[in-house]
Amino acid sequence: MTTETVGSVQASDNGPTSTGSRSTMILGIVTIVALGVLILFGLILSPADENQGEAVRIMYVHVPSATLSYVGCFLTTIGSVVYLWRKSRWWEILAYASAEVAALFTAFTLITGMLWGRPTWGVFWIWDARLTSEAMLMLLLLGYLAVRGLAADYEVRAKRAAIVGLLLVPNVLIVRESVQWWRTLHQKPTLSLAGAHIEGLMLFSLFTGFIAITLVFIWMVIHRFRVAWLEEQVDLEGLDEAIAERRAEGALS
Amino acid sequence: MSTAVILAEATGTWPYVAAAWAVVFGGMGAYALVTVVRGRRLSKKVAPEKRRWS
Repeated sequence: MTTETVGSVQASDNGPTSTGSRSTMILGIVTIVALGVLILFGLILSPADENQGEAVRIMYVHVPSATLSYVGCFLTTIGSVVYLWRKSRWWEILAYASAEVAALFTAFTLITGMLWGRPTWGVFWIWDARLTSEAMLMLLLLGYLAVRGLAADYEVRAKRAAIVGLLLVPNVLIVRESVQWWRTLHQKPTLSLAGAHIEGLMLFSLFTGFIAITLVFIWMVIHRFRVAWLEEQVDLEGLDEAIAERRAEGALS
Repeated sequence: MSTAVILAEATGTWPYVAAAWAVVFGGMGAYALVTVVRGRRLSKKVAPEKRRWS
């Protein structure tokens, strides 16, 4: 076994040198296959819509992206609640990782929604209830990430970010219900507890989109969690070093 | 009729579809790549016993 010194930490080459593990590698392979199936059904095999034409294919990435952004927000709020209640670092890091991935999927939702809106509504953007509330959700997520990234003690930024994180789920509920509560240009939900408004290959393609993008989401949250965990370990090592240096200086004087 | 309009009528809504899928797939790929690279860089600074998934 060979070892090399990196900073003050003995890093060894007898373990994985990444955030990957056997399970995430299998998950990654399954995810790539699922994305291939999504391309096959979403872009090739599923038919064009009678009203929307080929633009309906945007739905297969837009709707799953939106749903997974909501899931990320739920995880962030749950993680924030548990952190504020039990001071669990594990849950706080999960909240942070989920928020970043949720921000990515919210950006996908906004951009693909604009690209879907132009051929169907004639405009890229309109300040109606659904679009505006979705934009507010994006700002809230960016706010969470900005607070979490503040140059402050871990406890301070984690606590402040967790308080912002508590606001995510109420905002998601407003986004979700906005098409019911207000008159908007945005269509009603494609899928609901009452059933689906599409069928056949279109429904199957949307289902495939949900599976593929859910797998991507899980893979991303796991890896982002591990990156955040490593960042915390590096910060802690730096703190320990600084304390040791101060003590050594004190002993000399 | 401008070239842009002629092109838009000829291609229909496919450019919007292609752009939407490119944004999602490109974004996911770029984020995954950045995350993996950051993870590899940070892993070298942390002892294996502190990487609990090792």
